[in-house]
Amino acid sequence: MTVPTAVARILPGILATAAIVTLTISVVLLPWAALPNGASGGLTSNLPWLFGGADFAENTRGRFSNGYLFLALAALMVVPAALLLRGRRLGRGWIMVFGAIAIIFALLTRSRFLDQFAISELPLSAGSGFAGVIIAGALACAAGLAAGWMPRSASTGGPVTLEALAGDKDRLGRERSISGVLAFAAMCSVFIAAAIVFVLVREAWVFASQVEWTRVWDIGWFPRRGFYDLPTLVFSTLVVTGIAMIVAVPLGLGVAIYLSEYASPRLRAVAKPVVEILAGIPTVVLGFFALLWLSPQFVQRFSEANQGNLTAAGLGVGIVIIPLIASVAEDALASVPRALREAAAGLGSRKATTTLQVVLPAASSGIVAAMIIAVSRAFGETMVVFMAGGAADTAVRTFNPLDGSLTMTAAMASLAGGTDSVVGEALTQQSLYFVGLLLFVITLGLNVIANRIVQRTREKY
Amino acid sequence: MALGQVLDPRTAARVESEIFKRNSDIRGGIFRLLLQIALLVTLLTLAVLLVDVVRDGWPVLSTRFGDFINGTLRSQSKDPLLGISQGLKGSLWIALIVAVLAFPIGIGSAIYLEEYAPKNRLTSFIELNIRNLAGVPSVVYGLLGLGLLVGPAARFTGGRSVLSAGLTMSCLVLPIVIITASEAIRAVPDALREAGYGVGATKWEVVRDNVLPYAAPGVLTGTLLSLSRALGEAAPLILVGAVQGRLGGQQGWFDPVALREKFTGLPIIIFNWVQDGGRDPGFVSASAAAIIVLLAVVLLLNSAAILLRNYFENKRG
Repeated sequence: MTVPTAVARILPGILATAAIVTLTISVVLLPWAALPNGASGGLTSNLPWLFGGADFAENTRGRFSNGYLFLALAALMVVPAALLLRGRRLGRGWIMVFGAIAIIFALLTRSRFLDQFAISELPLSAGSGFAGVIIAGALACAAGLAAGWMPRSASTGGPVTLEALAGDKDRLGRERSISGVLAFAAMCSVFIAAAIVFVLVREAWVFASQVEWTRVWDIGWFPRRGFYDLPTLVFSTLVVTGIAMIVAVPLGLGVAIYLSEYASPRLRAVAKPVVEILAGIPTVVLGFFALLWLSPQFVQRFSEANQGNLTAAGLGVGIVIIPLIASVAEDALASVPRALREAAAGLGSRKATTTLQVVLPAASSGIVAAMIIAVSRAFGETMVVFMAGGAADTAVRTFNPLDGSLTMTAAMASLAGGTDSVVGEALTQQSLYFVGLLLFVITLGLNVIANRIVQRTREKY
Repeated sequence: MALGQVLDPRTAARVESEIFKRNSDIRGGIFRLLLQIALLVTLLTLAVLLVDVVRDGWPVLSTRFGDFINGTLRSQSKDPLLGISQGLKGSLWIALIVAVLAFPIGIGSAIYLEEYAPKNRLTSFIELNIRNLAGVPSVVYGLLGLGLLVGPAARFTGGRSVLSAGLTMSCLVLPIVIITASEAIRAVPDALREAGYGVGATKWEVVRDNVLPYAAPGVLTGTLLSLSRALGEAAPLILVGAVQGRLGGQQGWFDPVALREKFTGLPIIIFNWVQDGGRDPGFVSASAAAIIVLLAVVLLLNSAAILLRNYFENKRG
């Protein structure tokens, strides 16, 4: 699709969006718009840029206010609304006309809008552009889908002519604009990915080019004093992930094998949703649980550790990833063909032998993928380690799982949480993005590998 | 006896006992037991978690439910006005923004990828990209919000505002919406589409009248799950700058001006009170009570999604 065609496809969608938004507002809010300034209470005070303003009054030498303009606009919009309600078709030309009217209205009320939101000029920056694209994408998509549901009159009857055989022009036009809007929506995710990489690399580059690199390999993580020891964060992340995997791999795999190979359909019907519910529990709740229950009941009972320590955090993260391993591994087991099991049974092997020596090896790549995804999730888990990891905002390098320390994610959360109150060294803010980039690259690598494995197994069977 | 005629008597006896012996597979039994223990421990963890939270939080909810829901953030846990209304409001707005932004884009993308997209490199790149986005840690999305929406776009979003948080959350749940909706659309039998084309419908008419009605329960499941994810995530909110102390100057519940104001969310309140629990133990039970409220909402959404999916799976066999 070339650029001009893409624009030609998307433009009617955008104009249709503007028209539909204005149409909706004008039809729904017509009664309030008719009221004089100040008399309509809530809406006038909330949305003066739309209802109460005097911009237009200035342009028309005090004869009209926005309210009147709005009233006129709404009256105009009644025409297409009536046409649509009667099931008449509304061609692209009409849509363009109403879209243009809506945009002119928006421009006329622009300065009032900017006043309302205390914006001195039109906000043009990378961030606003990003937000604008996401919001425009959502609006265009919603409008496109809504427009797709509008009734059309079908051309019926009459003799068969060349024109009739060529198809209904409006119908084909609608096809084109809808596919354009949907393609725009699909590009939004690419846009988000690009924005993530852009933000991370931009700030991380500042950090990497300005920091003294000896301080990135020193006693510990004291970002406000300029010590950014990455090994501290990486080691504690590895400790937490290791403990989590020790807990979660046997449990998750056990659940997957039992549900897939042994459980009766009735038990499966009950147990599977319950495991899914465990997956849906917010991590902040598991952080509470790890700090206030797992730590005193398991860790502190057998050691002298503080309440917050890496072991408790690891146990908590383990609970986070059990359902993940269970569901991905179960999918892998379920995709092993039934014929393999029957062949093994036919050769006289027992259930356990079939499971361990036939089904598990056949599903091994999927199970490996489950573990990789779980490691990546454990690396990126934030709230559990931040709450139960036992360090507020600084950490000394440690290898002891009973100490408290900061993982990569916890360090980011603590830095961001404190940026309001404590002003650190010049690069404190940038170090956040540097750690973030590191985490992003690691998890992305793991996910790419795992996805490839999953994809390959899916093709195999 | 048939075996006796073919085999010598000793072998026949051995084979017979191997066949008819009961409980002979001890190792298999142990393996099965271990698997059962794994399942039991997992389910028990969930039960202990729920019991622990309810035991800690119930006294607060049962004695002063209304005040707790309507109250605000306070510095003392004994304050009778302590409550979670600000967090509820923030989370509600975030959920609303997610519903407005992420759902149309997500469902639209899924329709495009499954029905419209040509099989070429661009399409497979978009699909790969979405799968990878789904695996990006939530805290990195927080950085996206902090670096792009809070800073450079402050004039539009108002900085550390609920609008920034909602936009960030929308990006976070978008891949989930797309993936679940794609799966639902992929599961629609081709015969339905062909029937539509057969009577002369255009592509969009087939999607609208044949594909989407069939896929609707699956799509709805995905939206419910992503909504519950958006309500429960705390890490991106911390990075975007949810207020972790007291929060003043509050507008009404549905005042759009509040979009550009400072905010807090229910998960942030929980996190905050757990930290305050060190100096004032009363905050621990307040935090547990807030967890009960959050879990009630999140688990309701999740179980609705799971039940809905199971119901339609069974119905269609």
